Amino acid sequence: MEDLRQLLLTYIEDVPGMLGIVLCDREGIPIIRCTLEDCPEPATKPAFLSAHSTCSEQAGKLGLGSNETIMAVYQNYQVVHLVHTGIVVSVIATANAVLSELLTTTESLKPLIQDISLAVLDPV
Amino acid sequence: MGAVLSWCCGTETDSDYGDSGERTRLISDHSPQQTLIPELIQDHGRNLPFSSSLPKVNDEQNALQNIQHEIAANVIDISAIDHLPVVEQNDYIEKSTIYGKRLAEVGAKLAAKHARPTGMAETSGGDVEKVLSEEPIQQEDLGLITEIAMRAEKESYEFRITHQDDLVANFGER
Repeated sequence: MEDLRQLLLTYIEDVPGMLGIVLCDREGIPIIRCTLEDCPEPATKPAFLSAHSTCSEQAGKLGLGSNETIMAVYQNYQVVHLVHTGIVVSVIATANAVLSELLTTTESLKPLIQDISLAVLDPV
Repeated sequence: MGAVLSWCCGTETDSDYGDSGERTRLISDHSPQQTLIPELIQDHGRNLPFSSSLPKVNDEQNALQNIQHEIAANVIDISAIDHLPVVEQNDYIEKSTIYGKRLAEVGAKLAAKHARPTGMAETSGGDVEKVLSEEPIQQEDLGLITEIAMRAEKESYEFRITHQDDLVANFGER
């Protein structure tokens, strides 16, 4: 597990402003968390993370197709949520971070997330 | 049920059936066992274009449930966020423990599989010397790269957006 955390840490350190990466299931139960000291704790709580699934489901009813990614920009932070192979990926960064770089990071994480999903989640 | 029968029996033919029509009570108040059946439905040896049996209650319930499910699937319900299913503490701990165990079994393998290149930090000394002793790029190429980079920096520094048209306009106007 520590090896995976170190690997995620390299992704975090590559992007200026990125503070943490959290992988959890749709209920918000964390699978693995890698955060820096400055990462806000509420953004890594299950109550915050599980709200994404409901938001994504409701957003899919807007007539624009199913929702893939949610990017929430707050006063001090930004959070990017996406679901890939049943795992909710949440990337937390400062408000100054470049959003496209956060998205690029989530794209590059997808092969790793898929393998983690196969190893950890119960088959549907 | 009355509405279904009125659809079956038609709507503008009250005069053909005297007092019976779409609003006629099917079950009489005076005799609970008497059932007034509209004339058209009574089978006098004629072949009726529709089935004389009423839809079963189960079919109606199923149809209603299907309609409810379809509406629930299409309606945007923001309050659903306030009513998220609460994960109990025991379930939370149990699942997170299971995830941790499973990940611990494969974590090292996955980390090795998806390891990212770290430049020359892990390169051996001999390979580093080999790379450093290779012939460098030509000075012409280096000059071209430098000039293009300086031009790009200058242009990006001078890039400005000039606001001209109003961003807010009345709807329908061109």
